[in-house]
Amino acid sequence: MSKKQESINDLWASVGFTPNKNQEEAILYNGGPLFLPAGPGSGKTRVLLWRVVNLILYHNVEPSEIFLSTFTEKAASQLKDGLESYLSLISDDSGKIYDLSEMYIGTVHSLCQRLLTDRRFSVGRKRNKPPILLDELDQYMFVTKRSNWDAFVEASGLPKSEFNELVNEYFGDSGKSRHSAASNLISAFNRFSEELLDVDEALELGSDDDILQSVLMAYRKYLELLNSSDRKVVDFALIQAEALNFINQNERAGDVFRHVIIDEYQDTNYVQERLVFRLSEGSKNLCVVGDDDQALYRFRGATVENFVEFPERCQRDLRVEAKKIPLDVNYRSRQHIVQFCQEFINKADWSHQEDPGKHYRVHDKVITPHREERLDSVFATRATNPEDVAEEIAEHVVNLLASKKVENPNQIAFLFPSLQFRGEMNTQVQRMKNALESRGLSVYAPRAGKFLDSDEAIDMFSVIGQIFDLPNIENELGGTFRNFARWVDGLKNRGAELAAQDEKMKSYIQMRRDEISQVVKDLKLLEGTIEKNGWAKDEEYLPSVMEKALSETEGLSKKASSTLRNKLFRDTIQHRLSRKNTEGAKPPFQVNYAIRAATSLDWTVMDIYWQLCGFRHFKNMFDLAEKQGIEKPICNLSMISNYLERFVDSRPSILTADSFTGSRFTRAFWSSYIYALYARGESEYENPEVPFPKECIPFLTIHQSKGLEFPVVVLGNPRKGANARKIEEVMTLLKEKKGEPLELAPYFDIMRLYYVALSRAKNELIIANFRSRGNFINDEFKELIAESMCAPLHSHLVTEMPHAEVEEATFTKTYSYTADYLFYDLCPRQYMIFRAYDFSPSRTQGMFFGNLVHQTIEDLHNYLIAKREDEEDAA
Amino acid sequence: MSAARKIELEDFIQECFSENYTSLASETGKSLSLKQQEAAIQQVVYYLYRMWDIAEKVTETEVKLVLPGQRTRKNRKYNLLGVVDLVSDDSGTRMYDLKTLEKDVILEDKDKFKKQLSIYSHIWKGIKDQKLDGTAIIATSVPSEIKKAVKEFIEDPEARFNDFQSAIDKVEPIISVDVNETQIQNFLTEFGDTIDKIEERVFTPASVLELRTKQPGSNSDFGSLVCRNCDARYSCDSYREYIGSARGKVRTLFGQYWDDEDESAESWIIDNLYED
Repeated sequence: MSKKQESINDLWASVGFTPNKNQEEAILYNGGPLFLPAGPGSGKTRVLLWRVVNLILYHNVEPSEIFLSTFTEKAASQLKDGLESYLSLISDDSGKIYDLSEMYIGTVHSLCQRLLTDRRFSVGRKRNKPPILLDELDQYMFVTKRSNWDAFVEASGLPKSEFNELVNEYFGDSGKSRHSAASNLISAFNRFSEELLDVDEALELGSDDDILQSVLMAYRKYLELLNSSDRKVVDFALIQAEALNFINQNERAGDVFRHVIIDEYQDTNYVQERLVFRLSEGSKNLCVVGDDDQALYRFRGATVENFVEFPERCQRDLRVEAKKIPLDVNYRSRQHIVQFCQEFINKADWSHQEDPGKHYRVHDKVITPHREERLDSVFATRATNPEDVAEEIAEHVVNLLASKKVENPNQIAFLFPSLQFRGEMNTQVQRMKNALESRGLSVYAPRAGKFLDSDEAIDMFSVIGQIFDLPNIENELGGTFRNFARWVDGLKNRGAELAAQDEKMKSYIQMRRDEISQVVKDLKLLEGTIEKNGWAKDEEYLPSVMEKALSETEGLSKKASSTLRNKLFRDTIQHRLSRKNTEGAKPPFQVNYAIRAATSLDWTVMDIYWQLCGFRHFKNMFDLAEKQGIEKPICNLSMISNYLERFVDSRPSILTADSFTGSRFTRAFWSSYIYALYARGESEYENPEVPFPKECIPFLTIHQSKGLEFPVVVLGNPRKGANARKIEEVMTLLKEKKGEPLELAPYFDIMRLYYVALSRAKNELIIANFRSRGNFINDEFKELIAESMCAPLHSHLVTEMPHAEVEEATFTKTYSYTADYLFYDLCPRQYMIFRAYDFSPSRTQGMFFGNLVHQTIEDLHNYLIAKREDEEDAA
Repeated sequence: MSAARKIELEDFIQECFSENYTSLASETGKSLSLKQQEAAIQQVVYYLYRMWDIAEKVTETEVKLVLPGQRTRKNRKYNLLGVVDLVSDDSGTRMYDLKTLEKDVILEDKDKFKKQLSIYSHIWKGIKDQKLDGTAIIATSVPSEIKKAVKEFIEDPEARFNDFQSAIDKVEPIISVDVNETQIQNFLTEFGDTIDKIEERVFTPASVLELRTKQPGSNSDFGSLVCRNCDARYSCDSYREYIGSARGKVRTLFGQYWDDEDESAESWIIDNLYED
């Protein structure tokens, strides 16, 4: 900096920020571990932001020396944006620009990926080859892949016919569904990985439990299979363990970052805790922020004890005392809402069972409201059946909008514990949605619906189904399978309808079908020739002996015949034959290979997709975006391309005749891949830049609402039972841990879940008060309503509500010279499709070539840089 | 460069190259033909030996430079990103941009690249508060007249080294570019205007006229060089019109069905077909 910028107080003054005493202390503290229990709306994001600004500006901390993890990528980019704008205040004065691209800021997962290639941790600066990361769907496909699944079953030692049922039963599900069994196994595997489980130890500890033994053996097999390819493959849970192992190779791993800051620390898991303690071993500057009352992710392995017991663990692992500074002023909600939240969370008894005086939460906190407005802000509907409750709420929403107390429907959020039940929209959600829609209001609930039920998905898959035969699914199967059968039936009708509307498309479909029939016919003919000559399919293919007979097979198509006689093809075969005895060379091709080449189609499912996009019905969706800015159809079309790409990439991409004999392709594509998307209930397209589209009322899961706030919140379903999860019992046994007692944890979790929901509201909180046969609400709500903690909604005067301004979120996007400017300059439409809407291309090879050269030269440079540094060190 | 070090580097290149190839292939699900793979490794070898003086001095490679706080003429905020290689030594800091294109192609389109390097050096200046002492493009595509020498050298490095060395000495992959300080504001404005168009969702395809225009350094037009590699061409009005009127093409191409993917199909099948 050219001139020493005033002080941070002047900066605060210039942006109009007046921190309270604790906020200020939390921002400025710079003496080791810092523990920040932060209540809802207490301004923790601001505190984090200013903390970082202070470190960079006034403590000479380089951005590259800061590790800051957030719960979502979005939170990270907002923080980064905020940092940039505050730092630019300084830049305006001093001319110095702060480049934050070297700063670690993102989710723990993305930061783990970054750690794995960070040369500061690797020994000798050599670039560590990061493992291939499977996302959740990849992981599901990997686990359910037939050969892998069979290997798990075999490793488990359980009878194949009972495997699914036994696994499901063990984890508290019933039925033989492979989808359920796979989901159960995956969540157990993830948990084992997050807890850094040692399989051998676990087998010993769990030796009395036969099914657990089997699950552990399957897990061991899973790890083995992930490690079996050339390049290591990891899932989201394992990448963290991988990162921890990687940094542990370097003795000085604890000195790389001078400050480690973790947001939402109550939702971290064991391996994450180990990682952040390791990273702060040198500096001891580990700052954690969070709210144990808002812990939501036990089902993904998070342990709230990481937060509650943070001070003890600092003592134990860093051997220093943590400074505790509570952030306990709520700037978000009106007083009544703050009180209601407190009363609610205090309904539970949080005191420790074995350790009197201790608690399962940070118990001494008192959240005080900053907004001391005494008016009623929490309302309950009449106690009645769900239909009438929905009507009353919908009517109120209409009034709210008419009064202009909220400017836009997207300021009214409906929160639910879950939006789907077994892949279908939850009944209470459906009721609320109907009540609102019948009043002409729009609802935006992307996670309540399935992507595969969108018009675009149905249309595209229905036409693809006209080319590749759809499966016939037996209808007597239950549950998800029956629904899937119905979906497939719908495709059949729709596909015929669309084909009938477009003659050109119809003849295109027929042409592709004919090509499939042709290769299948060619295959039979070639097999005849092979048999006649007494050749075996797995013997070496010798063009000199076989080519003539095969290519002149009677009735063989011209295309098959010319492939066999093709020069490039023959050269490729000869090349291998000539190197037959060379060490390390690949063996010669087999007869099978030649037949496959002759009976292959020169298009993939991806090509079909792109070509179909040229027909009127689909082209129109592109035109809508290009010419009228209507985005929804093109967004869903893009998602289809992404899903098809995953399918094509996960297997040999060429379609050959043998894909169609014995309906192998139908099984792989429809019954396995598309069914997996269906069963997993993959949700609709969501625009990360516009999470809550204007003019629509958002329906969210409570988990989705984490970290957000809305002027009006409707708690759409205050009913959820506490179910113990088997995996918790298993982990208690295997890790011999003393966390929250098994019988209390599920109850605590539900209290926390609702606490999050309630504390999202700024001005008004509405509780659906179900009371009819089979419909009711959780006891805590019942009691609070009985204690008159809620005002009746029907007597609520909307005019008393404060006006809620629409807050425009602004993002600063980063644009690249080559990937944006030059690309757009080349062709704006191509840019639209592949960059703005992120479609997956079919076979663009240009990028591959360039990337390969650039990456290799980059490696070469790094190698030379490392060499030079070594030599300098030596000298 | 000592002989021992050369051999060590050759091994390193081979190893990295095949690792990168495998990982790119598995990430993208795509593959390159043997010929393309050979061409790629030739570029790396050519670069290393011809540009050794630069390669050994590179201080930072593939650096992402981000200049925050930019504004378009319509007052949209954005950050500007560029990726470069840097060489710093006693004589200052120079910036290199490696392109896998042929030198002639770059020369023919030099203004475009000048714009790019001007903007990159502007980013550098903004972040580091110091000027660059030089900017240049390195064309890594092996010039056709020395392809044979490079190929033979890779096959038998010991025997062919001298021929190879004298061949590469005759060509010059560096294209130095004078950064145009006075025009930078114009370049940035142009860049910003593009951002505005992107944000305003202006996505009209390149015009038919552009599709029929010959591309720099090539005898082919935009339609066959760019569009033919674009999967979205089937639904593109410009391309439909272009192909419908192209001489020698069957007019019914889009009337009945598509058939413009052709000659590359054979090699594509061979490259992608699986073995048992």
